[in-house]
Amino acid sequence: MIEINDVSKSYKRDHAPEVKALDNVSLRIAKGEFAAVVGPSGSGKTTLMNIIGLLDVPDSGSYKLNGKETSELDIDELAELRNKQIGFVFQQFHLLPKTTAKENVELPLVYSDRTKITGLAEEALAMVGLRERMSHTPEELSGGQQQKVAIARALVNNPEIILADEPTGNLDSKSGEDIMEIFRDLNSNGRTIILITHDKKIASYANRTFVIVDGTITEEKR
Amino acid sequence: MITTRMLKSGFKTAWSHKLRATFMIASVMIGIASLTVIISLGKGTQEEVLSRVKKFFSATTINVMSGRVRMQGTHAKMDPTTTLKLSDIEDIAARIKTIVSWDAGQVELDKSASFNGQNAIVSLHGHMPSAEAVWNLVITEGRFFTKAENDGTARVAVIAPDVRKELFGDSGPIGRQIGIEGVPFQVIGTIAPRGPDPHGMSQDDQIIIPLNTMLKRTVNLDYVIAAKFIVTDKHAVNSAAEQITQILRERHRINTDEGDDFTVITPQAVNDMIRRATRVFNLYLPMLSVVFLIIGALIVANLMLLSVSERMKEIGLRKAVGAKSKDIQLQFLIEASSITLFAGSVGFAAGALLLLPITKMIDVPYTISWSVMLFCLAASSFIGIAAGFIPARRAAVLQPVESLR
Ligand SMILES: Nc1ncnc2c1ncn2[C@@H]1O[C@H](COP(=O)(O)OP(=O)(O)OP(=O)(O)O)[C@@H](O)[C@H]1O
Ligand SMILES: [Mg+2]
Repeated sequence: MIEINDVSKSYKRDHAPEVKALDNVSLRIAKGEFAAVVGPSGSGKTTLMNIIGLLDVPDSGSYKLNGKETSELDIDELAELRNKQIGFVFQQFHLLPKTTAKENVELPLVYSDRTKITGLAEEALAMVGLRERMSHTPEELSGGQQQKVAIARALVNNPEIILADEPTGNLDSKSGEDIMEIFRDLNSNGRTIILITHDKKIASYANRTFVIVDGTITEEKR
Repeated sequence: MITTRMLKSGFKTAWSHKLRATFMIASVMIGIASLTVIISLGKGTQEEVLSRVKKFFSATTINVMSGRVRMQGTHAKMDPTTTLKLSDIEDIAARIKTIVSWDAGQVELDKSASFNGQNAIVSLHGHMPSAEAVWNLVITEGRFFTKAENDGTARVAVIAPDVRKELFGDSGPIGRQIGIEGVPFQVIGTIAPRGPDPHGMSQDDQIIIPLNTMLKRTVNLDYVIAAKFIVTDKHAVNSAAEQITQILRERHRINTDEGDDFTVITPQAVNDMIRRATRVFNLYLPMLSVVFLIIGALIVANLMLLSVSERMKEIGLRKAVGAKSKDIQLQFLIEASSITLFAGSVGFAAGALLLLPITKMIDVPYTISWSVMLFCLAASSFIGIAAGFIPARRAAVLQPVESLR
């Protein structure tokens, strides 16, 4: 379902040398797979996730999602695809400040065309074990709890693909394992999961592991 | 359905920044409130001046003042001479056929009047018997004085409401003897309240006595301060005014290279004065309001811009989870317009409410000008909305990562 061919992405800034964050990356991930992307800091993992998640566009190369070339889609068509098909867990959480956990989790539902949305946010929060913290704002939650709220938000609209950038980075190993169990359940229900992590142990939950170094990707054979 | 969900979410986020929202609402509110007060007071004053002036000078009236009258803004500066005699006025009335009635008068301010131990400070006016008709005086009790009383320098007086109240309270004044500067006068009539004259001075503290009595018995002068002529119709005004000027210059033996020692005020001149007066109001008030408006709008624009750049992350996040460009635009548009409209309306109401205690304190009239207020409200909302909307629209069409950064 995800077909990436020869995708490159560079960041140009004034008075600074160009950074090639992705260099001719090609990868294929089928529906229902559980993939992990590992690599050192600054190697291009987040850049790759942004492109797979349709949050950014590559400089060159092709990205087909479900057989459709994404560079042909306009900004609103991309927004609709993100809303329906992709759930994000951002590295920096990106929760709305001073807004309750429930309202944060509800955000993707706000823009979905579902008619019935009541109860869904509570359900998603229950999955990550934060039901009782529903009316707390991010300022009143620990880093780990904020991460769980971000995960609940990624799940709430029942997307086909879940993209998670270091989803266990702020959790102790017990909570990290709980979260990985949730991802594993979602995967066994047919969801495609792409996980970015530093942690080899977390990566071992996945069926496939990609290694990214200096913007070049290789699949780790097992 | 989606839209209501979206707007609800947008408002919740906006309100989560309570301090900023409150500050934004407060600044628009204060701006509009002060604008309301200033414009309403200005407009009220303007209308009062105009109605006062119009009441005084009808279309068939020619006023002649002794000395040169110069206009300073909306105020007339008088500089009376001793050269305008009653005989001048009588000669004019006899020679100009279009004059149907006339009056001449003399005034002394700050005179003391007394009755039965009660004292009042009055302005003493000497007038012709014709003054009742020429000035449209309304007699409430008794009568006005007659030609015989004027010719015979009778000591009779007609008193205005304030004088009546101060000297007599609730008792009847007609037939009583009062003292004016120690000289006994008999009260023969009272007149209805007239409000202020064109200079804003009260006319209700007057005692009116026959002009002859005043000149010969009270002040011992042989000149008058002003005269008023009423002509047949308004087309007769200009030629009558020219003749008046001619006759007076002749009688006063004024050389051609010298200026008049009197001033003829025609309805035309009054109209010019009104136009000059309204120009002041019509120019300065809107200018003042525009300055206020610009200040208010700049505050709103500033806060809105700040809000949008602060909320770039929010925009990026909303887009990442599926908000379309138009969803973001609509959210910010509605947010900006409801904040400015709400704050503007509350400010308007607060300003209108403030007018009551203010006008009670400093006794100025006010008129709320709906058109000006609506314009100000619309203009400041427009600027607030533009300031909130334009950057949000720019952010709305960016790739989500660019605003998430
Ligand atoms: N907006 C940007 N402007 C300039 N350079 C950028 C930008 N974003 C990323 N980069 C650069 O691109 C490279 C890849 O960044 P990226 O965020 O994808 O790394 P990462 O693998 O996610 O790292 P980490 O594990 O630390 O999150 C880095 O060298 C980074 O400095
Ligand atoms: Mg990263």
